[in-house]
Amino acid sequence: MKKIYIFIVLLIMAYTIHAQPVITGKVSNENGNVLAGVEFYLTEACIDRSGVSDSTGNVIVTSIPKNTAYLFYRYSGDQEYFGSVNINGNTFDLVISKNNRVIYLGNGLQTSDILSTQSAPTINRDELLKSSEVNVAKSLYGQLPGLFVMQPNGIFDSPGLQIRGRSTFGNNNPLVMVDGFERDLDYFSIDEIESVTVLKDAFAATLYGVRGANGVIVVTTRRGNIGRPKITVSYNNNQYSPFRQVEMAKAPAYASALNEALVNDGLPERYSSAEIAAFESGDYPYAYPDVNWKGKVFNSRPTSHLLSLNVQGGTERVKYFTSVSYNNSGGYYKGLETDAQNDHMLNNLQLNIKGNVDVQVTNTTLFSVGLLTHLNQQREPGVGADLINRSVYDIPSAAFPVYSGEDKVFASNSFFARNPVAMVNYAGFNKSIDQALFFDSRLRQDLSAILPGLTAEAAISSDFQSLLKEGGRRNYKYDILSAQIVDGNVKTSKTSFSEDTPMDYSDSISGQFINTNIEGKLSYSRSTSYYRLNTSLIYEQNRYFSQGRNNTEKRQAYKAFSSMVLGNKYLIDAVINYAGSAKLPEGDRFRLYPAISAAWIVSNEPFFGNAEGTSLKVRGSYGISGSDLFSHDLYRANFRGGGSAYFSNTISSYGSSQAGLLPTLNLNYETAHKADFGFDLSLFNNKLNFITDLFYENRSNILVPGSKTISGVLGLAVSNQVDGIIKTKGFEAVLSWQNKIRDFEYAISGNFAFARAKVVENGEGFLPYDYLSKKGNSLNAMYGLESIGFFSSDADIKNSPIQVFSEVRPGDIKYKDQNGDHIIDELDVIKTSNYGSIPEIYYGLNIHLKYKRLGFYALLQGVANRSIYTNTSDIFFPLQNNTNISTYYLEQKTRWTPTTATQADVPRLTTLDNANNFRVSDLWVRNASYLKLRNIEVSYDLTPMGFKARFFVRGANLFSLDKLKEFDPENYSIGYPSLSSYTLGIQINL
Amino acid sequence: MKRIKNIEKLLLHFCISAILLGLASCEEITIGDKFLSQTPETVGFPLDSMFSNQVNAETVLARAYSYNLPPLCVSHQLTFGKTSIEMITDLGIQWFAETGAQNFIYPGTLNASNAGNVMSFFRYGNDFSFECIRYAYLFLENLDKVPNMSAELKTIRKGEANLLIALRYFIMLRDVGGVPWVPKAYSVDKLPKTFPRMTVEEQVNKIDSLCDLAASQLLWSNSSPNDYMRFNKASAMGLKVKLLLDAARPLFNSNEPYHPDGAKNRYTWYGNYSVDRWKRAEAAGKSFMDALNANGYYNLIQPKGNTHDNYREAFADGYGTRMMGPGNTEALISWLPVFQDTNGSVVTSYSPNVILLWNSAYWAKTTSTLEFVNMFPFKDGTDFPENFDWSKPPFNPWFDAQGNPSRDPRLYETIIINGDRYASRKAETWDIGNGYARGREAVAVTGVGTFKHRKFLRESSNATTWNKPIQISFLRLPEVFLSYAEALNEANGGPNATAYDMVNRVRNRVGLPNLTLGLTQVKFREAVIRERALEFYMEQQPWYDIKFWKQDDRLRKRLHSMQILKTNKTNVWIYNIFEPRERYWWTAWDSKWLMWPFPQGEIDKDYGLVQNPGW
Repeated sequence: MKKIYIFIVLLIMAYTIHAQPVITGKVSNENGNVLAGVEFYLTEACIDRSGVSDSTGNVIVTSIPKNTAYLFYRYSGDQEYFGSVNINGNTFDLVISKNNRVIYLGNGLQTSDILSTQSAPTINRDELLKSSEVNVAKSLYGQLPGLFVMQPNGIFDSPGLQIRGRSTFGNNNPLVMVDGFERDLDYFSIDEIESVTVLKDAFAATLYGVRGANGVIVVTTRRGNIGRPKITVSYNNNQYSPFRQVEMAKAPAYASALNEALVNDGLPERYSSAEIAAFESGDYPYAYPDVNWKGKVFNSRPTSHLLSLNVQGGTERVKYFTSVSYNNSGGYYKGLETDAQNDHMLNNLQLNIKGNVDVQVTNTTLFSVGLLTHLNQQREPGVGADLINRSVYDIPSAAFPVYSGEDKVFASNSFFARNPVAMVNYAGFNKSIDQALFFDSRLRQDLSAILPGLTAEAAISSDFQSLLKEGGRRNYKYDILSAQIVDGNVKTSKTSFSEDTPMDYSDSISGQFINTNIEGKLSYSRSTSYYRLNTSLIYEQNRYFSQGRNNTEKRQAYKAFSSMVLGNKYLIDAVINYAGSAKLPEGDRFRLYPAISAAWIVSNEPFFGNAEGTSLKVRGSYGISGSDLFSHDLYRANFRGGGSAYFSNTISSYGSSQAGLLPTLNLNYETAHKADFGFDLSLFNNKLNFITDLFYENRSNILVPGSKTISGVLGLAVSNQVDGIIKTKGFEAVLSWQNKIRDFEYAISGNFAFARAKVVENGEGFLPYDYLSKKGNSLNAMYGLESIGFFSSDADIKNSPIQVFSEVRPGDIKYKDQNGDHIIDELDVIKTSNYGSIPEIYYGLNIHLKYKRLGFYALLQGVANRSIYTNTSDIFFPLQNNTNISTYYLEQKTRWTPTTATQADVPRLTTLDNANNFRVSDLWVRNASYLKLRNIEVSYDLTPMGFKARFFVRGANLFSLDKLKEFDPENYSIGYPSLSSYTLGIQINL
Repeated sequence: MKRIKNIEKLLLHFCISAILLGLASCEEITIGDKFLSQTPETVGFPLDSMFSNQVNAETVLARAYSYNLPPLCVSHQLTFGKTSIEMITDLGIQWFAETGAQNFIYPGTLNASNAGNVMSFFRYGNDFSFECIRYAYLFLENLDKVPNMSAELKTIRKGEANLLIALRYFIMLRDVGGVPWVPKAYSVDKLPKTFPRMTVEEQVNKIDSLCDLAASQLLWSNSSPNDYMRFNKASAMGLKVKLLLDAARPLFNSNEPYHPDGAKNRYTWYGNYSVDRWKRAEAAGKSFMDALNANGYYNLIQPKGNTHDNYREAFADGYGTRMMGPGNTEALISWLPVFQDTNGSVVTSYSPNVILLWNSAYWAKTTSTLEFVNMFPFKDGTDFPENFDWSKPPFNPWFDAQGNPSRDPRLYETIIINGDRYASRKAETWDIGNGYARGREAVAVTGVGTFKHRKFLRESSNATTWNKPIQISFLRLPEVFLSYAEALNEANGGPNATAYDMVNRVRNRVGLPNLTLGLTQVKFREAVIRERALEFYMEQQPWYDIKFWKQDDRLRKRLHSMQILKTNKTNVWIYNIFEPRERYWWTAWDSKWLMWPFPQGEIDKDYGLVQNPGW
């Protein structure tokens, strides 16, 4: 035994002795500046470091084994780079260009723009930090071609993310990987992020197996680099203001509109002309008020503060990055007087601390650890912000005053029984506290001692989260007012209700998860002067355990990955992924997903010449991937508690057990066959860049209703069946131009994405008329009745087909009888728009200008081929069921009245439910395309004034070009308004 | 340099503690296939473990029982929109534009395409009949696996399950005719491709033999208070009478189909007339009466004395005993109105507010027609004059000169009569005349509340009703009596003494005198059907009487409602008679309406379902 050890040691020594002599090199960037801190490695895995460039850009590489053709390097400067350098002789000159930007594929696999066979658009921290939001997703609008980022409706919510639109009936959320593990992006803050990459093609999807079909967003956090500690402090102060708010009608206008609606409904008027005059005069602020509720509740200038501090640095042995970011956002409500003990004002507070450490434990061992602590506290008034926002629009200006009299008791009336000012200030509070601790570590071991080029890697992560909720409720005293004008005198009466009560208190844990991942990898890489090969075998497992039953997710995958570069011209990547998830029954869980991807760097062919700064790469990929984003237990029926039966002559019930849905037959993961083709072109010394991608996807095994095809005699609700098929086609293009003319630098970059999903099979079953079928239409298409004007008279109603939804009167919407059966019902529904709320076209435009110390930046983003259904109550369905009406509706729209019958574009006013008018029809479908100015920034570099710093002024969401003038087309609701923001900020580098 | 060394040391410590933290947090580390095989936690049990003990097995049968029956109109298991089906007949009016009569029958807009959308309006497809049947089969197929349960009890429970299947097939038969026969609880992949409809004859015989089978397995009545409302032999024999009566009536039992298209098949009628069907119904009635005489227990709830109030109380307790005390000895098949919200969760409060039937009555969303009110005779049995001059009333139509109620006591318990009592005071259903606010009992939402329902409402104070739901019957004893009387009359060419006795039992219970002797077959039949209307209004019998006797003249008749205005003089009223909303049937009747359509969606699934005639 001992002899063997000695033999191995001797072998290693022999190996070392035969190493090549010292090689020296010099590293610079495209602008000719030398680069310090570039790390050189012997293998592609980047563990066995053999040299680091010094401050003059020079590097000495020692201990190089014989026959080594390539050295690999990593560099973390303004962004991260990765590449290889061919060593023919004892010296080399390396120029690191933008094309060497690193692309992370996950599982510790990395490539770079130039070596990639895929389209993987990436945004780095310098671009991300142009946003003054703390939320990472909010900095991604229009930045990455193919990534559709849509603004959320809620208050502090994150935007919705989709890759290449929607291509399934089911869950279309992309997989988000942060530092190699699936994590929610909301737990990170911008200051911690190094890069965000969108993996959208066939190859990347396959690499992620049962999670890949919806595309993958790979996020890396910042890590340390060799050099003295660099400290960055930045502060942003945001001032918000609402972006478009509909003005609600003033009291006299509301009162007349209500009367008109009541008369239309055949009901007596609510307000007499004397009362309307009383509203007009404003002489009776209590009996006949005119309250601008928005003004009373909404604060015109909420603010937020974003402060962050980070330190980045390292030695040859230990590299570190740490960041602390703090955000405190105020909400858009006006408080009366603050009650320090029970703070209830809308507020969001977030504190993130992130640390990443990489330790070179031995020359062949690299160990990395990451730790994140996250704390987010949200606060709102006790009745909930949603109800307050809705009430501000719902409650007419004429309904009641804020206070019932000089004694400042809140007023209300019997119809609404809620007072927005009181709800903000005296209804207690809700608080939710989200705490998380994320940990990951990765150990990389070079095994050249066993076999040159062999490395092993192991990684684990475990993330914890818990969401606590606290609430305080209290009642407040209010008066219900009523008024009458009798013989010209205003008579009022008031009745008091409720009492001011002390606060009740409650708390609960309302969410928790533990997410554990284990990953192991064995890689082998080999290079000669003609080819480079990198092969990995990967094992991974994931367990996501969260509060509640049936929420655990478990997945496992075995992967073989191989990438090859031939003659610096041909790149071939292949992957085979054998992946499974616990959502399928035992014995049938695993599926085999293969993919191949190849590229040809045409510009490296001799016939292309050797034009500096000109390159052309053609690439294509094909692969199969899956999606398991559906519920557990679909393959079996379980019994659980059901309704009760009553057998006794008392009322004690007898519990029953009911079977769940019938099993889904042949349950399978959604299966995506994807193909991509594209090319990357750079011209004029890399000033012009053009990237384009054409893609095709066939998604099958999508769960669709089985109830339309399976008989009801079965006696149980039929579950969904895996029959759905959707085909998606589209393309993306990026065109950018950058140049420098003496002191003036500029860069313009535009990206454009188009994706159209077509329904092939949706389980709709037999339909009596072709127009009812959704097959062959766009997945996003909207369906409704076709309006053909408004009923002009009772005779018109009598002579028209019967509309079955509710009793119709003149001025109600008249629909087209599509099937000629003289009945207007669900069988007359047709496609009303080819588009839906998810756009088909998504584009962005980036402009950077810099003159000496002055900088300018703008980000425009738009969508097209988008429609929405404007069913917003108070705005488009006004007055019905005690709601309100807007000035917009009264003045910009022409409602039907006997005199406007011919010009009308909206139906008569009504106070009733009116299921005839207020249902999906083409009348309410609007084009919701837009072009928005997402960000604009003017900055000034203060560095020459003695310290490294940058001062900037920003604006976000300042304008939108669209056809919906009354609301934000992305947030067409009477909820919390969209906000525009102005920011003053400073960033100091120490 | 030393400083950097220190930082390195610090960071190393950080790493080590982080790893320890990380490891400590992975509660269990399993790798490889074993990891995935540990299936994540699930909810519930597979079928086998449901029958590993008696308690679990009984909950499967309880599920089959838990689907409420008509005339119970609760929540998502509505049988006819939000009201009783009598509102589509000449007896009642639905005023409020809601699912049911107002939205689908009065305008004539019901068709095969929207039938499936009208909640469970039509008892096929998306109602709960086949669900109930499935659970009954699951129970029958697996009960023998249950250990430690006595054979006697197993037999009884099987009888209950068999009767549940029979009952559900009966409900479908009377609403849509023959439906597919499902012989077992199928799994989704073993479902046959075709499910043809049974003929009426096949389905009647299937249900009949299930009733016989159940009767042979069950005990006559339930002795244990805990099982009070489970099915028993009396339920099975009673259902058999109900089934065979409807089967013998002219809709099915005729030489002419009710609709010309019906001639093509036998899914909605027998194809001929045979008096044997009446004799079969008569025999079932006789068996029931013999068993009743032999076993007792069931009996009409008798008045405690002979006052008007005694009669009313006996009648009201008969149709709706509040759940207290020993229960209702009239109820052969009965349910408690348990409210389920739209998610199917049971709301355990028993405020009558949650019972939509009650709600519908309380808000006067439905009222009676004047035609129905006029059907109630005087308490001495004489008819109310058809030509009563409402514009100049010759006498008070409700009370005699002494102020005592003058009509059939059931009138006052079915409808709130102006001047009668209500919640311990005088009932006021008059209109105060400004067209907006009305008398205290007439609620504004509908506009007209003169003949507001009291049936099933009874009293409305929380003190007497909270946690005391009304036990509502699908089948109660007086119906068996009247059915037997009807069968006797038809089977023997006229009424015999037993037939008279059966009707008189029902009449005498509310103080009405015996029927005049010597009635012809036709007159006796009319008397029985009228008696059924007065007794079972809002219990869904009158609609089926009209339907199975093909009395479409009653459905085409123009109807009337009434507004009562107060005058300056005490007890002098102005009665304004007016027509309610025009009904499509009045001008465009088609006999296809005697059977509901099958939802088009089910026919489109192409498993052999044939649409009903005319739809």
